[in-house]
Amino acid sequence: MGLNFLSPLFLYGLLGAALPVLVHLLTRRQKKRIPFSAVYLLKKSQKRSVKRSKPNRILLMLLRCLALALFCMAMSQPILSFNEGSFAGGKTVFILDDSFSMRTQAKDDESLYHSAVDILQGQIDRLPEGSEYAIVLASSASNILQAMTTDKSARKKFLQASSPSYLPTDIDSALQKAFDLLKGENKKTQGIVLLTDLDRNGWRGESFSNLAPNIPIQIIDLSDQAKAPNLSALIDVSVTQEFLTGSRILRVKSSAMNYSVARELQDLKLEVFSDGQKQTDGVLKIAPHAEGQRELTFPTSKPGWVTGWAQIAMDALEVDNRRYFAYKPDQSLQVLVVDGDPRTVQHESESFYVERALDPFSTGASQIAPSIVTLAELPQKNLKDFSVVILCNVRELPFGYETELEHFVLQGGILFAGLGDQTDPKYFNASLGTLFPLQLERLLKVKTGSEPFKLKIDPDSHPVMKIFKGQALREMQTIRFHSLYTITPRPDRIFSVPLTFTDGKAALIETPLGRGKTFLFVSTLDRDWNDFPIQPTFLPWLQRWVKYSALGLDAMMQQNLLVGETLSDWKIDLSGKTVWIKKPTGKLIRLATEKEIPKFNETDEPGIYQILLTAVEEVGADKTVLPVDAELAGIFTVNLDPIESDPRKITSKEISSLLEGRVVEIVSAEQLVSPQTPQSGTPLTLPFLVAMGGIFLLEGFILRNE
Amino acid sequence: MTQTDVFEYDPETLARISALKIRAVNLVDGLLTGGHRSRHKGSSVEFAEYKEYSPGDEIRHIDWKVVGKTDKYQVKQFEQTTNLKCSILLDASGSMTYESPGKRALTKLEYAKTLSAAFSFLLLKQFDSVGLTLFNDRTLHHIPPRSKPSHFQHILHGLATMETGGTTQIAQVVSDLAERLPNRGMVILISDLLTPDEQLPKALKLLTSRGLEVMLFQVLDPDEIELPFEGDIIFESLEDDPEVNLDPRDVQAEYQVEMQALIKNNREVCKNLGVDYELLDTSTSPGQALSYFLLKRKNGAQRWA
Repeated sequence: MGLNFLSPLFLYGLLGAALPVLVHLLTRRQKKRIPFSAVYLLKKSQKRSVKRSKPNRILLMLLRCLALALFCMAMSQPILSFNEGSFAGGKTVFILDDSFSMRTQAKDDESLYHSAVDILQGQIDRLPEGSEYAIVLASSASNILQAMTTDKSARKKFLQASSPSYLPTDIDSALQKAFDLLKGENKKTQGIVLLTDLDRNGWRGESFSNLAPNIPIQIIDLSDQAKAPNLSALIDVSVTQEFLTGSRILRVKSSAMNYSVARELQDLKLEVFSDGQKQTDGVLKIAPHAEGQRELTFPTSKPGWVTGWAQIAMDALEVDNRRYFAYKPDQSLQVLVVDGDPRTVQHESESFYVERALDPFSTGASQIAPSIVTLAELPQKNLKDFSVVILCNVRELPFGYETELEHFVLQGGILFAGLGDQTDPKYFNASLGTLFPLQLERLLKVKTGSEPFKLKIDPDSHPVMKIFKGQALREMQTIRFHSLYTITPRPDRIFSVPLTFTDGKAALIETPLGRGKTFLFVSTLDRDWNDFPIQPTFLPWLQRWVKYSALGLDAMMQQNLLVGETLSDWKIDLSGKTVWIKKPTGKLIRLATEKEIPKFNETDEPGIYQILLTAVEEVGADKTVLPVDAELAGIFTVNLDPIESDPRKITSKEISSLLEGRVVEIVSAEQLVSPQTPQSGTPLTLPFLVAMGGIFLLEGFILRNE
Repeated sequence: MTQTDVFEYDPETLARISALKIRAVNLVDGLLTGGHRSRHKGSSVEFAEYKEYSPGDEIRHIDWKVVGKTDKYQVKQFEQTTNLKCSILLDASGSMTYESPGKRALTKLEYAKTLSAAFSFLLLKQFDSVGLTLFNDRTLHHIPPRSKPSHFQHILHGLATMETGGTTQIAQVVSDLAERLPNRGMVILISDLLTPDEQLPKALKLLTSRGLEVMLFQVLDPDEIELPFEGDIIFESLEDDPEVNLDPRDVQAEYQVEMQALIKNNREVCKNLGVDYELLDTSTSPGQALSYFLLKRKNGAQRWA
């Protein structure tokens, strides 16, 4: 139970309570000494009258003082809070929400975090002497900033100079840590004070049932302190290269979220920065509480890595309006061609035609680098090294490899499958259902003398096909297919048929799956069932499908981490090397690679991180200075987890439900910072005024009787 | 060595005596228009009346001419005019020294002294004997009654050199003094009668029982009656009471009630004991007291003549 004042400035008026005393003292006459004869009579008279008059004067003075004091206190808007301070004098754990949503601009143009720190410091200062307290941070890796201490200034300077993390909130862990700190203590004299903006995402409530009951929790809600709620955030940025055009055009695809439930974001400015300057810009139009996407392109002539960021117009929470990207253009598409029916005669193998089509002169001019493997060699290959996997006439994949392929596609890989005489429809239908949304029905073979199947070409039907015009179109139309599989779609699966035969049968089935795609060509990719591979159009046709499909390979090639995530997949050979990471701030961190593959987990801020490789230092070398032979081996970006950007707040009802059975008090920070709004508790202004009136009545009564 | 020779006439005493004398003489001269009679009968040249002889009467007072004419023994009686013995008992306790902070013609003590001197002068002028006794809780100074005109100087000297202080113990003093006072004389008691305990009835009873005619003058300063002070005041006792710190306005009403009760009580006591009582406040002229005295004397003489 505690008495708080919403307008504490009026308490200075309490000094005015000294006025009656002052008046009493000033008007008190100088004491005169008079030698007198009938003193015994005076004494006798005094005995009679003293009880009535003299105490009344002091009583009146006291009553006037009290009336003035009550008036000042009434003006200060006293609030009697029954919960506050219930655990004062014992142990208190303060949980400070330092997630990046606390960077939201507050009404005082500082951040919510600063308001929280101010309140926290005030709360610590108000703790009774000898009380112990601890501070736990509530971001993802919630940790104990200050163990139990009685020193009120222990973290004062640190807190004032600190800033929030770039991590999302994790109230669960923080509460767990707070309860751990209070374990075994007398529950009557302890409590938890949580200073947070009540972001909904931080409250999972999974471990709340394990928390000890009877420890009161006071939640100081800082959300009211925000200047405005977070309006929008950039939630994803990906960069791809326009392979089909053959030019060095980078395509930056940005996704932004409109968090407003009522307001449509119109003309939300989107800008792309690279090499320190703005490359392109555009506008986004996003419906209320919806996601909007926009692709912006810009040419780049710079060799090597292209790094930069996309950003949208700033709002109350600025930090989530920018996302970083890093991309290395002109990469060769690594294509793994799996030959299911290898022959000793090269041109009898499917892979022969595919390899020639993808890289005609083995010069890499096509930006495609095919690698040929047999089924037996397949498990030795790391699929992460490839963007596209082409299965040619494969009968059956190694045991369990279907799952690996699924994972590959889900992560953004491309699977292109051609059929053939080795194809086993039973196996295909039973095991590859996830990858391909259809079943092989039967094999159609054109009888001798009958009209073969021919492709129906529409240049406008698909981006890949748009170059097949004129002569190329006619050539494509003359390709003869002798055998092919008919298919039946599986129910409830989404796919498209970008290429068909003249009789309407599907020739190529394109299926989006996760971040990748699968393609099924119902005939062979060699000359067994058609004469397509020896046609001039086979080369651009296959190349274009591969390049088209590889648009989604950015996910494979780029390492885009979230703040707090660990980098362990280096995509480069680290043997005999020492890894140095250069953080966005320029700080260098050396990672030892001698014993095991290093893990980098200091991704504590968003930005562009460089991976530098050097030869392993000689014994005795200075391991704190970056060697001069360091080479840039890769770049990865670290961005914010957009989950924290969502400004939706958890309601007090939901909190009560999550922390059921515990004493929870939610206090608005507005009440603690600004005395303008009433605080929870019983307002005492009226009773104080009534008491003052009563005192004046009593004074009048005494004066009248005197 | 004459009695005058023992006086220590320092200039201050002389000044006081002369001032007292002038005041007293003026007072008496202004008032005295005729002689006053003693109510006591004695041998004198002035015939008063006859009375039948009774054993014990002096033979020489038998008027033989009347015996010859009427054959009855008549004894001549004469008015005695010079044998009044008056003792003035003047209170010299601390309380009598009260001096009002305001301007007053006479302080309480001066007033009492003036009164004493005036009475003395008046009585001596008529050849009565006058004595003076100064007291507080004991007899401080005692001048036995004499009728010589020069006795006035003794009394003036006694008044001028009187020392004041101490508490008032009238009963005690009267008890001690009773033996020394002449029987059937007159006692003039001048005091403020401000004593916490009830001593007056006892003292007066003792005096009246000895056949003394008692006149009581209670002399009070108007301040002592009204308590007209204001402000936070520490009242220091002129006797031995502890000091009192108060605002007189707080107790004024009660005080006045107490004082009036005290006066009323004194008046009652005097009335019951046949004592003449007069309250004198120092703002009134001492002549008023003298007039009262003469009036009383006249009435008394008529009553007993």
